Amino acid sequence: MAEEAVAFASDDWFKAAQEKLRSDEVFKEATADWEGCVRCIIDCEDEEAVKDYRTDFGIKGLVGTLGMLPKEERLKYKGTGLEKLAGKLGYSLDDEPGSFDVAEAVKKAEGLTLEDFKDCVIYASWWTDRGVLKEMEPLPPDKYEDAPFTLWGTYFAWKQLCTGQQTAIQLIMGGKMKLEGNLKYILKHMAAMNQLAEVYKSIPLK
Amino acid sequence: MYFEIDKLVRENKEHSMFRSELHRFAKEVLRPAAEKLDKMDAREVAQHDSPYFEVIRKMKKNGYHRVLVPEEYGGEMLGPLEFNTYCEELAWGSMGLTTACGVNSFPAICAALIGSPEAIEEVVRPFMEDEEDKYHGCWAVMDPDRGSDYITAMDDPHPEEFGMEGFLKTERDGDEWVLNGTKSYWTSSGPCANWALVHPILPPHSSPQDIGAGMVPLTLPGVTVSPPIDKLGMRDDPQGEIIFENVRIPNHYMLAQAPEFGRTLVKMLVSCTSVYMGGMFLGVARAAFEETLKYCKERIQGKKPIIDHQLTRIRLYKMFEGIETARAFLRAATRNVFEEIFQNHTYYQSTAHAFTAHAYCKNTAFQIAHDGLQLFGGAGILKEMPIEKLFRDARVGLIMDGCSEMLSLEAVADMLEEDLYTVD
Repeated sequence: MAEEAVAFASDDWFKAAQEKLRSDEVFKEATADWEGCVRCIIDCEDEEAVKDYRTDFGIKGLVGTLGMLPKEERLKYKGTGLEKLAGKLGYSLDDEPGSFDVAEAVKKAEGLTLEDFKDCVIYASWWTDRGVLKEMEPLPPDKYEDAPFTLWGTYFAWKQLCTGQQTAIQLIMGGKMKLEGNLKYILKHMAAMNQLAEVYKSIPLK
Repeated sequence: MYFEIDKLVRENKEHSMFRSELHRFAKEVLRPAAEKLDKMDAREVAQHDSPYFEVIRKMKKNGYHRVLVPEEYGGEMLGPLEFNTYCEELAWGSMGLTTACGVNSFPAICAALIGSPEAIEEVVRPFMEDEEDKYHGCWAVMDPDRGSDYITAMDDPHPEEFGMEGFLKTERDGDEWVLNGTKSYWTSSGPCANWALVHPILPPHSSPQDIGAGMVPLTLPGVTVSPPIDKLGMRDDPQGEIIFENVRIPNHYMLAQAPEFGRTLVKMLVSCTSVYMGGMFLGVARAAFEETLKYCKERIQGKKPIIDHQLTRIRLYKMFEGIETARAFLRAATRNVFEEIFQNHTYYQSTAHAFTAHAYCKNTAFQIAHDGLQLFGGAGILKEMPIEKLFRDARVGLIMDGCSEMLSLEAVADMLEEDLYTVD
């Protein structure tokens, strides 16, 4: 049976990624000597995010992702561009996502422009410890600020990475993603990062 | 031709046919053209009606410009063994023309490796489809008075002390990058090209390690291409200077924009070119050896063919040893480069092995050409003898694309940094 497509960076996407990373033997082998958390920063101020977050699946996914966070962590997005965007869609960080009216939000999203995505950032973690996945989930803005690695990219760049259109090195060298951390360690473990991208690529996107 | 010691390779019929076809092309097309070009004035070589362009078109019709680009982008990527054979056989015919064909596709090769989808559609595909040489690239990598610095700065603990004077630099201006500076007269195919892969220093311009990579159409305003230089060897590969004055390229033409990855980029690209050059020097070495063998069998001195003299045999043994060793080592280094760069995209190739293979092959080529020339005696210095051109080409080769000494220093630096050998 064909795998169901999910919205990028949605709760369904994170769950699918967790499941695959836990069971993928090639990934476990590729990350057998990888240690350290990667703090992922998805900058949604781009046209691809505007396109996705005007759709029902995109909006549902975004709210679902925020719903993955415990309330006290979700509230740390208060005052950020993400909170403002969510507010424009009719979602408050104080609310649990279950009661959210997606159909209403889609109507509100019709008027969204790039300006509405200013400073709109989603934070997430990828943490594998010697082949065992520890975390692959959304984060509050202030968590793991001292993580050994940080990978920033636009929403579009992250989608290109996760759909295999470009490799991490292509995106980083081309200035579409920025990597901070021990560069030599990353280069030595580029096979691990490439295999991570292969797993992401196996998740069909809407 | 030679006996292939590796049984698996020897019995691979497809590979044998591939090698035969390359050799035929080298013998029938490259060698005669190279001999002609070697005797021409440097400026004449770069004229549009010169045999140089005719040969490049023939090479492109055979798809020889597609060998390092994946099929998904219109290329015909070879495997590592086929690539070694390609380099060796074609350079057996002419190292200069094989170099020219290689750098011709450099903008596309680099774009295929690290470029965006837009760069691939706009530049890589047309380069790959081209058989009329409408797209003629070159590799503008060296800066004037900065030849060895380009390599040694990459491993220096204080690269900022090299200073920025003399380097081509670039600045971002909106959706464009602006280039200012000069790339040196060592730019292969520079006088003939209409595209260049250039390596400018990126902002913040703090050191030579802040290096990037960009594709530049040489027809843009602000580009000046100098006439070709007149040189000792590899005269069939026109080289010249390119000047950039406020040359603007679109953002997606600047393939590598991350200064923190400059060192990785250089090591990756130079590892690729190292195995390329290594293969070509192997071709030169073999050509010189074969010419020498032939002459030694024919030349009578001391009442017998000189091949029957022991001193000659010792020399021939050293040549044989050099070629076979170089070929075996080069194949291993090339496999590593192909696996890490073209197949797995880790860019974590062993630069130490790639540089060592390159240095070993070029030193071997020169030693063989030198000893071969000595065995030719007075006949060897005649312009009409192939060994004369091979000797000059091999000598120039000791310097170009990283002189042997610099390659050796960098190989050791990489070997130590990566702990390739440890003490128990």
